[in-house]
Amino acid sequence: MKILYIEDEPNDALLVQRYARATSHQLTVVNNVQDAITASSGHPDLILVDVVLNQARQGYDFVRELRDQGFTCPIIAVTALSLPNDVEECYAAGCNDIVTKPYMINELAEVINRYA
Amino acid sequence: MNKLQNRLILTFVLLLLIPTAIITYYGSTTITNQLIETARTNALQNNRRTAASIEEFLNRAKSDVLFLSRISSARTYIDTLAAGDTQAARTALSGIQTTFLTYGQNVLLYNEISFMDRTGQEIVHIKLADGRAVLTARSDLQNLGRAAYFKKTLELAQGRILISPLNLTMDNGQVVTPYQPVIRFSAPVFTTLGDVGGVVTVNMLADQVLSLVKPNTSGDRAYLIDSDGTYLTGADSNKLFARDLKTDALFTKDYPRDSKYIMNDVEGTQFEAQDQPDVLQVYTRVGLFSQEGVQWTLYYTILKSDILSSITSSRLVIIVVAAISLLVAVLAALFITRSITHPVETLTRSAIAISEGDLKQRVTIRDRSEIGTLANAFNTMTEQLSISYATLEKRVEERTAQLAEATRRAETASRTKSVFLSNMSHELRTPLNVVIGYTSSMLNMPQMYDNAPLPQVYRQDIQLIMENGRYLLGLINDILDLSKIEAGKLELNCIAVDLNETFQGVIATSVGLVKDKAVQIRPDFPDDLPKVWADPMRVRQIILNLMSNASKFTERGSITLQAHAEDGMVRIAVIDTGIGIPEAALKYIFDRFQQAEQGTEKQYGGTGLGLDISKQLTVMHGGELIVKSVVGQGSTFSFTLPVATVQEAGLAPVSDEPQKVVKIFAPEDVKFEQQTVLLAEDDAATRAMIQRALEQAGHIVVAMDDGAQALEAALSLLPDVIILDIKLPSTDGLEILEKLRANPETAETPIMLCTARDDLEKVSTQHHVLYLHKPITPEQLLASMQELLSQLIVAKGS
Repeated sequence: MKILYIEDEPNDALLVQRYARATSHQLTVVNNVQDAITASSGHPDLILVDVVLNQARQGYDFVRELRDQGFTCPIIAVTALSLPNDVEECYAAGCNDIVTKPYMINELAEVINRYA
Repeated sequence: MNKLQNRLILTFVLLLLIPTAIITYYGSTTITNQLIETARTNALQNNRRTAASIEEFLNRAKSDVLFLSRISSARTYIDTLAAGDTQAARTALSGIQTTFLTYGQNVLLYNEISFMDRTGQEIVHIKLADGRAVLTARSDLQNLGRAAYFKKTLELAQGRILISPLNLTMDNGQVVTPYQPVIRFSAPVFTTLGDVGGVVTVNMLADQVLSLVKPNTSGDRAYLIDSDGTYLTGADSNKLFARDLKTDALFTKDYPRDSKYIMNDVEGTQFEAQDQPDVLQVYTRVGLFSQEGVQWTLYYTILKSDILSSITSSRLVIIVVAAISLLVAVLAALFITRSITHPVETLTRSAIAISEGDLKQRVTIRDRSEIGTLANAFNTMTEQLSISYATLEKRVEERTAQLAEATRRAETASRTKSVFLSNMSHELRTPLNVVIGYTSSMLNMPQMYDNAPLPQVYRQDIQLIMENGRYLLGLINDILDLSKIEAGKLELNCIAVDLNETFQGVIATSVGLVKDKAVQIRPDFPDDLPKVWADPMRVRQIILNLMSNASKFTERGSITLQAHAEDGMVRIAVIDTGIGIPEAALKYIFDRFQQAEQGTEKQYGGTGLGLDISKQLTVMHGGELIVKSVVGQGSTFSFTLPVATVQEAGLAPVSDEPQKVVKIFAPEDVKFEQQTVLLAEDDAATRAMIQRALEQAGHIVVAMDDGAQALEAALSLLPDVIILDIKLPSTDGLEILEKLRANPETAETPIMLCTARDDLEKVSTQHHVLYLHKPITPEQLLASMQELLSQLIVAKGS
C-alpha cells in the first residue's frame, strides 16, 4: 500500500518509517504542506497527517484542500491534539479516522490495517 | 369624533329643556284655568244680562196687561152695561177701542189686544197687521168662553195675571206660517163693586224676546229652553217648537245627562260635561211668575277650542322662546367646547407626536386658564422627558457597550482557555509519543528491529518506561479533565445509560486491580436498575476511580459495588473494608493533591486528583459524592445519578410497578426571555454546570470566581439576575448581597444564593432572593430562576 505521511516531528516520522519498512508498506514522509501537495499527486492509497505542522494547525486546511480537489483516499489524522473540539474538527475537515498521540504501536497498526 | 362637545351640548340642552318644559306645563295649565274661569264668568254675566233683558220684556207685558185691565173705560163699560145704560156703555166701548188702538200702535209689541166680557165674548179686539193696529170688525169677534186660559183668568185675584206658555200662533187649528211665536198675558177686569166683569188679553210677540238670545261668536250657541225641554230658540229650525209642532225634538232628549242639572239648577256652569265634553256650558233660569208656571232656561255653550284658542298663541311664543334659547345654548356649548377642545386637540396631537418619538414637540397655547397651565405643564413634562430619554438612551448605550465588552472579554477568555488547553495537551503528549511509541514498538513489534532479540534485562526496563509513560499519560488526562472542568470546557454527553453494562465493565477491570491481594470484588445490585441519564464514559470514570482508590487502601476483605434505586435516583456506592479515613481528614479528602495522611502517596501511589475529578463529575450530573468512613473498618463512597425518563430511555420501564420518574432537565422545557446573568462561583464544576445550563436556556452568562470582582461587575453591568455562591474568595456572597441591596440600582435585582449545608444558619428571607442548596441540578436552577423572575413580574405589575 502506498502511504503518504505528513509529519514534522522527525522522531515520530522515524517510528512510522520503521513500522512501514517492517510491514512492507510503501511510505513517503514529507514535513510540510507544500511538499505534501506535490507528493499527493502520486495517488497514495492512504494519507497519514499530523495536524500541527510547523507550530500551526495546517493539517486541517491541507485535508480540506485535498477533499476539495476530489481526493477520495482514506486520510487518518495522527496527532497529539485530544480535546473533543479538536477531534471534531479533524472529522469535519475530512479525515476518516484519528490516532491520538501517544499511541502504542499496535494501536497505529490496527488503524492502518483497517484501510489496507 | 368631538365627544366632549357633544356631551356639553347635550348637557346644556337638557339643562335648558327641563325648566322650559316645567314652565310650559305650569304656564299652560295656569293659563288654561284662567281662560276657562274668565270665559265662565263672562258667559254667566252675559247670561244674566240676557235673562234680565228677557224679564224686562216680560215685566213690560205684565204691567201693560195690568194697566189695560184697569183702564176706567173698561170698568165703566161693564158697570153701565150692567146698569142698562146703553148710551154710556157705547161711549165707554169707544174709549176702550181708542185706548187699545193707541196702545197697540205705539207699543208694537203685541199682535193682539182683546177685551172679553165675563162670558168670553170678545168686546174689543185689536190686531197688528203690517205695523199698524187695526180694530177687528164686530162680525169677526169670537167667543172664547170655553178657553182654559179664560176660565183661569176669571178666577184670578186683583193684581194677578196669567201668562200662557210661548206658543205659535194658530188659525183655525193650524199653525200660522211663518211661525209667529207669542206669549199671552191675561188679567181679569173688575167692576167698581169689585166683581169680575171681563178679561183683558195681550199677545206679546215673542220674536223680540227670542232675538235677545243669540251667540256672541260663531262658535257659541245660545238656547232658550222651555221647562218641558222644548227648544224656543238657538236650536236648528226643525227642532224648534216641538210642543206646538208635535215633534219629539226636546233638549232633555238630546242631552239626557246634562239636562238634569241644566233644567233643575237656577244657575250654573259646567266645563267638559258628559254629553258635551268639548264645550263650556252656562245656564240661567229665566222666568217671572213661577206661580203662573212659566219657567225657561237660558242655555249658552262656548267651544273649548274657542276658549283655549289664545293659549295656542301663548304656546307658540313659548316654543319660539325655547327654540331661541336652545339655539343660544348650543352655540354657547359649541363656543365653550371649542375653547376647551381646541387646546386639548393640540395637546393630543403633541402627545401622539411625542409617543411616536418626536420629543421636540412643544404646544403653543396662550391661555391664562387651567388649559394654559396644563399646556405649560405639558411642555415642562416633555422637556423633562426629553432630558430623561436622552440620559436613558445614553445609559442604555453605555450599559450595552459594557455588556458587549464583558461578553467579548468572557468569550475571548474562553477561547484563550480552549486554545491553551488544546496546546498544553498537545505539547505534553508529543514527547510522550516518543516514550510510548518506541517502547511499545520495541516490546511488541520485533520485526521493526529486524527481529533482533531483546534481552530480558532490557525488556523489563523498557516495560517499566512504557508503564510509567502510560501512567504519566493518565495524570496528564486527569489534569486536563480538571482544567477543562475549571474552564467550563468539559461537556457531558448524556444518554440513557444501562448501569448493568457499565458495572460489568468496571468489575472486570477492578478484578485486575486486586489480583495480588486477598480482596474480593462483590457486585451488589439488582438486574432491573432503571436507566440513568448520564455520560457513560464519565460514570465509568467515577466508579473506576472509586474502585481504584478502594483497591489501593484495602489489603484484605472485599470491595463491594452496590447500587439501588431511590426517589428518582440511582445511588451507587463503593464499599471497602480497608484502612478507613480518620475523621479529621474527611473534610480534606476531596481537596486536590491530598490523601488521608501526608506521605501516603509513597505507600499507595496516585496524585489525589481522582477524587476531585469524581466529585466534580458527580456535581455536573446533578449529584453529590459522599464519603463515610470508620478507621480500621473501611470507607464508603457513594453518589447519585438521575433516573432517565421513559422518553429519554426510549422504552417502557422493565418493571411492571409504576416507577417514580424524575424529569431530567431539558432546556426546551423552561422558556423565558433572554436574561443577562452574573454568576459568581469559585467551584469550577458548579460554575461550569450553572453556566452551561443557563447558556443552553438562551441566557447571557458572565461568570466570575472572585467575590470582589463579581461585586464590581454587578454594579457596572446591572445584570438581570445575579447568582452568588456564599463562599467566595475576597468578598463572600452575603456581603455582596448586602452591598447590592444598599445600592438603589441593584436593590431589586433578583439574586440566587448557592448555599452549602453549613451555610444554612447564616441565611435569612429577603425580597427577590432565593436560596439554592447544593448540590444544585440544572432543573432546580432554571425553576428557581423562573420563580424569581415571575415574582419580579408580579411585583412590577402590582
